[in-house]
Amino acid sequence: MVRIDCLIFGYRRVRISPDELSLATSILLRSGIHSKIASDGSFTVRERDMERLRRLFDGRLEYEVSEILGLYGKYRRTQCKAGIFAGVLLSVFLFGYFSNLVWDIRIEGNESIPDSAVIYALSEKGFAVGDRWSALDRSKVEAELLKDSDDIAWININRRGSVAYVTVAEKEKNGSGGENTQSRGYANIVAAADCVIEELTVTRGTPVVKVGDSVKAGELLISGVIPPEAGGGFCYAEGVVIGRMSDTVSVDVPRQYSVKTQKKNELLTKTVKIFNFSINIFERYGNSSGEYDIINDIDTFSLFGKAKLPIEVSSKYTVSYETTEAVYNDSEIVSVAMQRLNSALVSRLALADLVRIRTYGEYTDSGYSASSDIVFLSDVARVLEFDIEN
Amino acid sequence: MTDKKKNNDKPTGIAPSLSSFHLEANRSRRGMSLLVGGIIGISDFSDESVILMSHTGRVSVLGRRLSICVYENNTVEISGRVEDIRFTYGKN
Repeated sequence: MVRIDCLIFGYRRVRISPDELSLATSILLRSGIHSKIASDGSFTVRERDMERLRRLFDGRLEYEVSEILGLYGKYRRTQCKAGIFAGVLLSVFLFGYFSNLVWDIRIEGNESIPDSAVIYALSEKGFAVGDRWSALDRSKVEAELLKDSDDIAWININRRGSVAYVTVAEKEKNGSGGENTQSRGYANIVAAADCVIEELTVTRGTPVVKVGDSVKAGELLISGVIPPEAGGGFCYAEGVVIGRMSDTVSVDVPRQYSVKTQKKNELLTKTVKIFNFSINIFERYGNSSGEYDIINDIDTFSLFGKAKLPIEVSSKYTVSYETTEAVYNDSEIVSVAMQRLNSALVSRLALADLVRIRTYGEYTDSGYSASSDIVFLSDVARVLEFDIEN
Repeated sequence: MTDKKKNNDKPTGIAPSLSSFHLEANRSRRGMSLLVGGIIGISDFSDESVILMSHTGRVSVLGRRLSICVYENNTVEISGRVEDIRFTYGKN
């Protein structure tokens, strides 16, 4: 192994006869020349000690000296080659140029606003992948975006390397919180559907019904009017009213159905986008006929799945379909009907607790009909605001 | 000041600038590394033996795949599979 200083400042490999190795080693030792000696008669000597070694060895020993090795040797051999210097200069220029570009924009802090919306809003204000950092006024972009955006309360653009980390704070939506709605005025709570009251919890207001009562849709459940004996006046009624109700969910499945089969994909355009430069490498002219969808497939590239590269390959192609008619057999149609009925029940009972269910089905002239009679518990309180006129 | 002195006393791993004879052996990747100071000459060097001369005697190192590294301050490092070291006292 060669020492690091020899590698940097250059060294030569000297070869002598193995019989004279002891003598050579003794000479090197006495003269204090650092060298690494192998038993086959070769040893390395630093370039700066070569002159001294020649003085000591000349006339006493026969030896062969290699050309200069290491980085210094490399430099000496290549210093007259213009291509290397041109390459180095070009590398420096490219490094400087590309490190001054925005390679990627990463959004943080957003919950309801999608990343793409923020990136689009930034591009509208002149900040996008491929822009030069030196030409950007980030404060101006932030200010303009805040001025025009209805959803963003605060934004900050940070630069880390060539990547922009954009932190946003979203505006809070008015009307979603109970406190805000409460401050708007007065309200009653009425029944959202026909039901039997199973549970009644009044937080504010006067209860008008009791557990076990049957009520119709729109009937008053909790009043926002405070009785005179309780001080009188009005309030924003609040409470939870659970009602028991019944319903029937039905689905009808026709025996005939359409099957959509994909016929072929036809490439329309292919574009390579590097930063802000788009190169169209393929385009098909003419009209497509029949039933088809247009798919825009964008491939992006990243290094080791982490750093996103500013290169995109966009392929736009048509996917055409062929529709054919098919018929369910008896077992298939029941299976399909049950699947659809289950889906309908899941969506109907999304905010309810199921108490009882009875499912039945029958073959009809056109196909199969499946139904479920359900009894369930659900929140039936509906807020109905009112104003007081003087 | 006391701390500085303490730090200076620590072994640095570089051959010490001593002219008197000394020997330091360490295990290395290639087998063993023998750092011998106070050497004035090398009377024999082959793949299997090295004979070093000092003012007061000689050191014979036997082994396999031996190589030598010569430093500026009369110090020699022998690397390889060292099997036997012999010291002989007396004038060379």
